[in-house]
Amino acid sequence: MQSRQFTVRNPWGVHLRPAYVLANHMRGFESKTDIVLDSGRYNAKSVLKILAACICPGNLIAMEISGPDEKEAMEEASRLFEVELEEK
Amino acid sequence: MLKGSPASVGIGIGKAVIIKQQQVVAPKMIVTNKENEKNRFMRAAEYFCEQVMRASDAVGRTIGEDEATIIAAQSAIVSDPELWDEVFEIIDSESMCAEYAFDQVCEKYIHLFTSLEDELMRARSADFQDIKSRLLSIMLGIKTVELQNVPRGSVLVADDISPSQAVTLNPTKVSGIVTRMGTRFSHIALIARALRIPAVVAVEDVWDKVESGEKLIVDGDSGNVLISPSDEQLVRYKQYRRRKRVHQQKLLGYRDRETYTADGRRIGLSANLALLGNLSIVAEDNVDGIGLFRTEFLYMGRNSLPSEEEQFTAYRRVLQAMGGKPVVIRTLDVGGDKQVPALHFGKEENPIMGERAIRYCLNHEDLFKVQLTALLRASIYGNLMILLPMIATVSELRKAKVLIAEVKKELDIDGVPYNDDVQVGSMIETPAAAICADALAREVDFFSVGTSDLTQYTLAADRSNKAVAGMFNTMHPAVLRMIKCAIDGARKSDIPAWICGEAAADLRMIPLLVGLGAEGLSVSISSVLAVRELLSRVDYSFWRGQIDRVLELETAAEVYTFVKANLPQQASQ
Repeated sequence: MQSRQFTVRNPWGVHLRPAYVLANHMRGFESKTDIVLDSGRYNAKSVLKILAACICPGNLIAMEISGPDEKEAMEEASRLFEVELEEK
Repeated sequence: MLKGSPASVGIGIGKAVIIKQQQVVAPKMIVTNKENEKNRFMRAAEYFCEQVMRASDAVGRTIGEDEATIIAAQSAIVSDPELWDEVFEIIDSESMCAEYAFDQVCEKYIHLFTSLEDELMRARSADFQDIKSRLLSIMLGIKTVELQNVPRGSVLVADDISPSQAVTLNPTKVSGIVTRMGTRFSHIALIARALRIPAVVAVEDVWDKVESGEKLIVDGDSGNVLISPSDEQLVRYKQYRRRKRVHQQKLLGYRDRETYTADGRRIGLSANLALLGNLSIVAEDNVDGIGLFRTEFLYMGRNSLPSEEEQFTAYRRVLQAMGGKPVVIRTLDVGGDKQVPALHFGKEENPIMGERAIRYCLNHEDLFKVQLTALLRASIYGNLMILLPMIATVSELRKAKVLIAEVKKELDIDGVPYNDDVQVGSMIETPAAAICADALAREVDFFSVGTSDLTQYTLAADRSNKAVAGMFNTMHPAVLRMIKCAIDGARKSDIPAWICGEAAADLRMIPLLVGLGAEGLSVSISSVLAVRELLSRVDYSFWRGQIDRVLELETAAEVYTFVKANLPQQASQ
């Protein structure tokens, strides 16, 4: 299982576009991918669940990924969180 | 006249077409054939997605990728297995019809978002409202209000216009948009801007005053909406609109040009950048580079410090995006007056003159070295110029340079590549730096004059203090003499001096800056073309010849009078 923490700066967590982009990318992997917050676990392959997580700017969130391609999936998630999704 | 928030610039003139949302109510029916209900839902969902994806393609071509993705995201929600699970669960457990089940699930999410404190997050509930009514309409066979068939010259008037409606908008028929709700960042505002349709939102009393068919003037610049305007008002607005259009067209013609004065002197013109998101826009206007990349955004609005890796990624992106063009990146420039939870500023009586910017960094070497390391690592990806803010003394400059040398040594030991010829420059924004600019110029490769702070410190007036804000004026001879000091100091060591404060984009200040000998101007992205156009009408030799006379004037008002009298005629207004 891979686990990594990210700080969310821009309010991408509740924008449709970034939620859609994240879900799309995570769906390409076999592994189970979850966003873990105090309020619960949210399936990162589901646009609905990503929005329901109500991620706010400044939040520290954790991604937990487990499965055959977990390493690649975490690389991709890192790239999205740190670079692509931070775009306005 | 009605007042709202300007959401999309321009003047729209037309006849009001009222768009009323149809209330779609989900029937509450008990069913026996649950499988059938699930199938009905699935078919409706597929139809919804088909419609939306078709619209998304069309939107992508006219409006742009971002808006198209939002439409596609709606489709992704409707086809989300998690959503289907929730709907089926209600059908199974309560034996209710698909419309009711779907309505319940939507209401849950709508309620979740409306109960949040953040305005931006509450806006998500509107997305779910939109999905709900559209899918329910499909299931119930109700025709939704289509915007394609409005007559030419229509001004749409509505509570709000949802994304799925907006995609059916025909820009050739719609002259303007007025909504009761919404903000500059609502979907309809984004779409209006993309389609260049003037729009005003948040007009609270729109339904009290506007009737179907009435003539309206939508002023997207000011946020005003005129109802049944007089002939005189109509004429005035039409003239204003025509002048604006002509001027905009003219400015677009400057897009690919290089920047020269009327008598052929080349002036550098670069863009200021505060966030990475605007990078793509910078590329369009043929700027000479990025004259000021502010790094504060990496530190603000968060509780943890940005790691070296995170910073490196950001700096590399900018450098790569600009190809070989110079990118001036300014090191951390914040103080106790800004909200930066990740940094710890002591309680200060006077933060503007306190431990901020370079002073903070020199007192917190570890923090500063992380930034410097990230910058040096990124330096191999483009043309990096490091800018040090709020320098007041040569000692500070030398200390910073020592730290840079230390970081280089550490990178050498680790075998990490960097560009050894990275240029280092100083901001000139304190009076001390301006007056002793000749000494500073011997230590660095370039200057960047921060006119706003320089004005504040020189006149000893806090521009945010209402009692003295009127004193703040970059045109004051004292400030002009300071700028001259800075530029003359630079000249003695043959280094370039650029202007990066607000004055660089101020059309009244530009002739003076040119006359003082500024090598280049760095302005906000939205000002680039207007500045290039003005410079093309400014005669360098004239202003160079007159500048000494201007510097002998005694008040800012006299300077302004002189500039106004000699300013090349404005293209519009």
